[in-house]
Amino acid sequence: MNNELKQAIANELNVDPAELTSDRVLQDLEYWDSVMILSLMVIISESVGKEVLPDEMVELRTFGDIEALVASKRS
Amino acid sequence: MRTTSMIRAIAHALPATTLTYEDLVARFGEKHVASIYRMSGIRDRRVVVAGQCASDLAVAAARRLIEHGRVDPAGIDALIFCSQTPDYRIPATASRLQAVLGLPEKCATFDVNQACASFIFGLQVAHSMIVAETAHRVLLLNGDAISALINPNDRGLVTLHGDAAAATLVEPCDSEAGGVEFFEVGVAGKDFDRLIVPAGGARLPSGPTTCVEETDSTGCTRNQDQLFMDGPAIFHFALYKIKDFLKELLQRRSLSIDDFDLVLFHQANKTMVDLLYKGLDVPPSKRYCFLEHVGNSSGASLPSLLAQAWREGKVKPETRTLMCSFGGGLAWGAFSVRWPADADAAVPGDVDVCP
Repeated sequence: MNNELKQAIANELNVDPAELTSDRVLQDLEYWDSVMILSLMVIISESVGKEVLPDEMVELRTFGDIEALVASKRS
Repeated sequence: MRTTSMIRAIAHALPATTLTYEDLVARFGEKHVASIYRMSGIRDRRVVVAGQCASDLAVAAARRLIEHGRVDPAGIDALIFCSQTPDYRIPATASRLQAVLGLPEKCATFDVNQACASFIFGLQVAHSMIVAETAHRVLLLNGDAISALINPNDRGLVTLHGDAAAATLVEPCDSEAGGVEFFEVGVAGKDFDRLIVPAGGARLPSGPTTCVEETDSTGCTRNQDQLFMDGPAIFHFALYKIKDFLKELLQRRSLSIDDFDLVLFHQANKTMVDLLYKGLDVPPSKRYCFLEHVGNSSGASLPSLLAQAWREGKVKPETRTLMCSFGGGLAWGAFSVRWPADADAAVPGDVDVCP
């Protein structure tokens, strides 16, 4: 994941990018809710230029899952 | 000459009570509310108070049409009330509204239960009655008071939804002079449960178990008598399905955004509306939003948007407007109007409705 996208996600989640390690559990983040899922769906699909499915977003558990989703969309 | 239908006048009404940004900060905390505001573009929302119904807002909107001489109650042949929040389970709210508004007994009345796309579905019914000559003048009322169905601690929904109503007079029109040019609608019934109040109907009657609150994995709290929305699924549907639907519709009809002067979308949230505008290359001069201080008013959203655009001088004679709405059902629709040279000025008056 590029730094620009990571920074955008961190801004949205109201955390320092350094806190977003691959094992970071999303549900433990104070700002993780259904509206945040929508915001990140938009940010990721705009960044990768591809459709991101709701099921793909709902299945995210850790920040590593977000990194894997972005990598799979870019490949 | 071909007869079509025409929106002759439209008025909207909003509950006087505002659920403000500050009210929600006190409930959910500043950062949450700021984050949701950034996504939704909704700062404040107009909401009903206990005892105030969607139909009360619809009556206020209809009375403005009557008071300003746009509607003669004696001349209305059909009254359609589109709502997901009727006064009673039985009978149709439209029956009561006929009496409240002083419409004649010869005026046919019925409710249409549709969600955010209800303006288009209701208008299509009115259009069909007019073209079939079973009605000459139709009063279409759209009213939803969804806020009463939302758990006060469901931060995903409380922050988005407001209540409103609109009253529209639909009359015949010579298609050469203007009027409605086409309707297209669709429904993905397989996804009916993505936006739902599960209990309270015949399939799951309300009872001691349906009012038990649960908090989901995203921290949203609700019970089965309250509104549930699968946000990501609805967002995805609105963004991709609706964009493709409109692109295909325009192409098939040999139309483009260039053919329209104003493009209006259901005011779901600002991010969604902006992405749709961007996806369809709608220039800023043809965009119009009305949600920051009212919220997403479901089926009343599109007619309220049109009424407000009209009041702000954006609906002009001999221009064309494309309108599209989408939401629960999952249902969607679009239609276009060519405003005739004799299109009337906007309906004046105060839109606020006190309880």
